[in-house]
Amino acid sequence: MKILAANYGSFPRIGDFLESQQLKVATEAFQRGELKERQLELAKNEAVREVLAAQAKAGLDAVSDGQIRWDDAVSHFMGKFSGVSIAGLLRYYDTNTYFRQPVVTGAMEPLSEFVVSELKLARAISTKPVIARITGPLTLSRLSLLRGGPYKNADALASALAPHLAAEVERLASAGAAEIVVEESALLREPRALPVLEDALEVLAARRGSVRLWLFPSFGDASPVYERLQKLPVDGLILDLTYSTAAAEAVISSGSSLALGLGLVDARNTMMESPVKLAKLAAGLIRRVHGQIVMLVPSNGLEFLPRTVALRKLAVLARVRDLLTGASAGRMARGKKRAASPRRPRPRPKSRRVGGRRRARRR
Amino acid sequence: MFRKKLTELGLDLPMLPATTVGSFPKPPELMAARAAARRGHITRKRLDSIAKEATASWIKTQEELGLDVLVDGEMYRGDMVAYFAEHLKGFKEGGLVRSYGNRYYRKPVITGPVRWSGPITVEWWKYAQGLTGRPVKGMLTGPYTMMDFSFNEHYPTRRSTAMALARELRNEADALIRAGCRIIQIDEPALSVRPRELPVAVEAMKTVTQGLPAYFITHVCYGAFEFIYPEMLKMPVHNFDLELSTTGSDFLALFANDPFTKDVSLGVFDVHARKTDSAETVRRRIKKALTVLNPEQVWIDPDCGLKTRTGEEARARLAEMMKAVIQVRKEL
Repeated sequence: MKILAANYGSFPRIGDFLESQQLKVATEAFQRGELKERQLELAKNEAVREVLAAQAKAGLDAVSDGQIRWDDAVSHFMGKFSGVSIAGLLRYYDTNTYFRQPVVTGAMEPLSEFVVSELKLARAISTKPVIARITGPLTLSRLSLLRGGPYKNADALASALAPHLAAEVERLASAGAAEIVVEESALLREPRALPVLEDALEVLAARRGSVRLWLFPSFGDASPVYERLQKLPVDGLILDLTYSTAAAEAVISSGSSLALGLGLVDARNTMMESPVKLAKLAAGLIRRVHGQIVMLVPSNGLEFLPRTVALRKLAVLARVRDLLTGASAGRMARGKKRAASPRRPRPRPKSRRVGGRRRARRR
Repeated sequence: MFRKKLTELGLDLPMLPATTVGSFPKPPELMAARAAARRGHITRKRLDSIAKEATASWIKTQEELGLDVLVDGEMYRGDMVAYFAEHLKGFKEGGLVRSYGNRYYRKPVITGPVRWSGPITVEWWKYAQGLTGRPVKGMLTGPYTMMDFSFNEHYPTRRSTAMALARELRNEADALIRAGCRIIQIDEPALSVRPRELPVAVEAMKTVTQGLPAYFITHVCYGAFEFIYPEMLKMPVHNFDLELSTTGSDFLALFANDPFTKDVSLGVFDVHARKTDSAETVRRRIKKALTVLNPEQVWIDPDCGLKTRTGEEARARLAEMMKAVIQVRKEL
C-alpha cells in the first residue's frame, strides 16, 4: 500500500513578514490602479510557485496549488456560469471566512473552465504531483440562492451542476491531475441529501479516466454516515479526524474498501500534534484500509492557519509518513519470517462497478 | 417588546430607533497614525489623541444624520476579537489569516487561563458618551465568538473556553454599566457556525448578562440562521441585530412561521455592496419586515459595521437609511 503525505486544498497565501506578502502588496496596488491586471497575474503565479515550493520543502509527496486564485470555494465555480450573479458575503461554515453567495437567476451555462488552467500552471512549476480540488455540486447548490431558472429546487440545481463539473473532472484528468478531490462541505449538515450526491458523483466518476476521484465531506464528523459514504461511487474518501474521535472509530470498526485520506493534523488550530501519536493512530486505521493508497493530509484547507504554523503541520505529516513507512518496512520483514506459518487471509473488498467499470481495475 | 425595559433604564427612544452596528471607517490620518504607532514612530498617547478626534467627528456625524442610539465608531480598535485578546491575559498575538479577498487579520491564540485585568472599553465609551446627549452603546465581542475566532492551545474543550471567556467578559459588561452605560451590544457573529453548540453560546451569554441592569443587544451576521431559528431566541438578550438585505428576505419567512419574540435591529443595507441603496429600496425592506414584525420591536441599522467603506460612502448610505426611517415612521 502506498502511504503519501499530501495537501489537497488551500494554503496560506501570505506569511507574517513583509517579504512573504508580495501578493497582498500587489493586490492592493492593483486595487489602487497602480498595477495592471497582467502584473497582478504574474504576482499570483509567483505566489503559486512559492506555495508549491514550500509544500515540497515540507516533505510532501503530492501538493496543491494552494487555491491562490480563489476568492472562495463557492463563487470561484458559480461565478463562471451565465444565469448566476454573485451577491453579498456569508460566513463559510464554522470559519471566520466568508463566501459570496451566488444567486441563480436563469438557465446556467458555463462561461469557461473552472480550475484546469490553475492545475496546468501548477503542474508546469511543481516538482511534485499536483492534486486538483473542486467544490461539489451539492455544496454549490446548497450555498446558492434560487431566484429563477429552470431549477425547481436545490436538488435539481445539484443535478444540473453535475455534468458541468464532470466535464471539468475530465479536463483535469487529461491535464494530469494526480488525484481529484471533490469537497462537499454541505453533506454532513444535510445527510439526507446523500442520494442526490450519489447520483451526481456517478456523473463525475464516469468522466475521471484513470485518475482517482476522492470525496471530502468537510466541516463535520463523518461517522454517522460513514458506512453510506463507503458505498458512494468514488475511489477515495478524505476524513477530518479532528472534529471528534468518532470518525476514526468508524474506520476501525467498519474498515474501508475505499482509499482513505486521513485528516490527521488540525488545520483549524495552532496546537501542534505529536508525530508519534499520530503515527500510532494512523497505523491502527491503515490496517483497516483495503484500498491501494492512504493519504496523510490536513483536516481541511490550510488557509485557516498562519503560514508558519501550516508549514509545521505539513512537516508533521511528512514525519508521520516516515514513521509509518519505516514501520511498514518492519512489518514486511516480520511478514517474511512468518510466511511459512499459516496466516489468516486479509479480507478483500468486494469489487463494485463504478461509473460502468470495475473499481479494482482502475489503477 | 422590551420598550418597558428601555423606559426603566430612562431611555426614551422613538419608534424604529436608528443606530449602527459599531465600526465606522477610520480616517486616513488615523490609519497612518496606527501604522506609525506599530513601528514605534509615535507614542500611544499621540495615537489615542488622534483616535479621539476621529471618535468626536463620528459622534457629530451620527447626530447630524439623526441616529438615535450612537456608537463610538471603534476608532481605537482593529479587529473585533484581536482587540479584546490584546487586553485579556491568556492570549498571545497569532499570525496572519485571510478573512476574505485581500483582507487578513491576526487570529489570537489562547495559551493560558483567560483573565480580565481591568476595564478595556470603558474609557472610550465614557469619552464618546461625554460628547453627546444621545445614548451611546457599549460594544463587546461575545464569549462564543471570542472562542470560535481564536486558536486554543490551553482549554480542553470549546465549551470550557467559551465559559472561561464569559466569566471574564461579564466583568467588562459590569464595568460599562457602573460607568453609566445602559445599552450594551455583545457581538456574536459566530453564533450559527456550529448549530449543535447553540446551547454553549446561550449558556455563555447568560453568564455575561444575567442580572445586569442594561438593555442587551447581540449582533449576529452572515450566518446560516435557518439551522438555529427559533432556538436562537433563547439567547438572554433583549435585541437581536440581524442582517436582512442579503439573505434576510428568507429570514422573514422564518419569522412568519415562528414569531420573533425579541426586539430586532434590522440590517437594512449590505455594507459590503459596491452601490448605495436608495432610501426607497431601504423603505421597501423595512415595510416588508413590518409585515411579520411589530413596529414596537424593530430598530433599524446597516447589516454590519461600516469600517470597510470610505467615510463618504458611510455617510451617504446612512443618510439614505435615515430618509427611509423617517418616511416609514410617518406611514405607521
